[in-house]
Amino acid sequence: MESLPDDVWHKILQIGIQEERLEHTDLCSLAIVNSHFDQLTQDPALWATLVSRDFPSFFSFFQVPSKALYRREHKAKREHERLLNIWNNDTWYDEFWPFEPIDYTPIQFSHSAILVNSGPQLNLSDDDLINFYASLRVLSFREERDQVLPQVNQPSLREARNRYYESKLSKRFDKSSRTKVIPNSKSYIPMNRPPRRSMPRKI
Amino acid sequence: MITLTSSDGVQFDVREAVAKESQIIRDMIQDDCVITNIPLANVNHKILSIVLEYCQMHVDKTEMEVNASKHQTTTGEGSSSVPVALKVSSNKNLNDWDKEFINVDLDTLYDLILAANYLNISGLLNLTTQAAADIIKGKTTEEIRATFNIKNDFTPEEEAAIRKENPWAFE
Repeated sequence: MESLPDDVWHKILQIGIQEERLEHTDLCSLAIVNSHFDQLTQDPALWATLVSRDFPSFFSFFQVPSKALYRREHKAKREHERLLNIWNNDTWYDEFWPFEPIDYTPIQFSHSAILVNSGPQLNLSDDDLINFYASLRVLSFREERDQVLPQVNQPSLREARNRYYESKLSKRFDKSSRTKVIPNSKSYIPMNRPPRRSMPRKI
Repeated sequence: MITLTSSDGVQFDVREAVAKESQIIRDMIQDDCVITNIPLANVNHKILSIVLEYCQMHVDKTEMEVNASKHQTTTGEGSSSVPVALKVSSNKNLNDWDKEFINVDLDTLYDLILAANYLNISGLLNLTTQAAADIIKGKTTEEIRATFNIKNDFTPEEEAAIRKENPWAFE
């Protein structure tokens, strides 16, 4: 079986991936079998199919799909899941978070392009990038939640919110907090006098 | 009728339609190197008979469908639902037949893949490569080595290095 020509092996793997019979784990197991299979499974074409199959919305002009890329996406996804898991088990937040957690969406190519391109200059390792990206994703997720929070109908929250609105309202009508205007100056408009007529009466 | 000769000299007489399942024979016939006897140097008689069985079955099925659709056009539009059902069932039968057909031992599968690749029969090549992929699926490295009887040509250091490279997939 090993003596099959390379193109036939390639076809076997390609069709196996397309028909969803082979996973990345199978390719990695094959890579350890021997040097010939290691060569065979490094082929970018196979990983390109795998990336487009497993991360359908992943799209990038900047990166050639490869084993390393798949690995990065895979790790980022796992890290993201891990952080989300921690987040979801956070009881403080659980009380008033009414929505389902967001789905994993692969890195937008603009983001990843910046991150990946700045990688070599900043001396960031792959894992750093992954961690950074995953935390970035959760952070932006956090922001989204916080924006929704004021609408949440939770008594304890409502009180705080009402206090906030009251303070705003009282500030607006409280005359003491108005900026002082000096009478007889040009900008002075008295509050409780009728508006000025066009021509002032002579006395 | 076309005569196909296997590598060990056994002759098979088949209809042209059956032989034309193979891209390479189709090209030969189209290019007018009209010989009614085609020698196939890379395929022995055992494998060739299996391959021809596959071609025969698929040609028969497609012809049956064509006949069915012809029958439908002659009888009119009123009975359109029956041939569709027949078509679906025949497709299902064919898939079942394929499954049964590909249930062979590894050596035969190996020869079949080679023959399908050589004769360029896309259907058979798809079927056999999928079967091979199914064999690989879900196996560990050691199991793959044992199944395909592959020798490990890494030195222990190399293997350690490559094992270190790959564990991310198995987490």
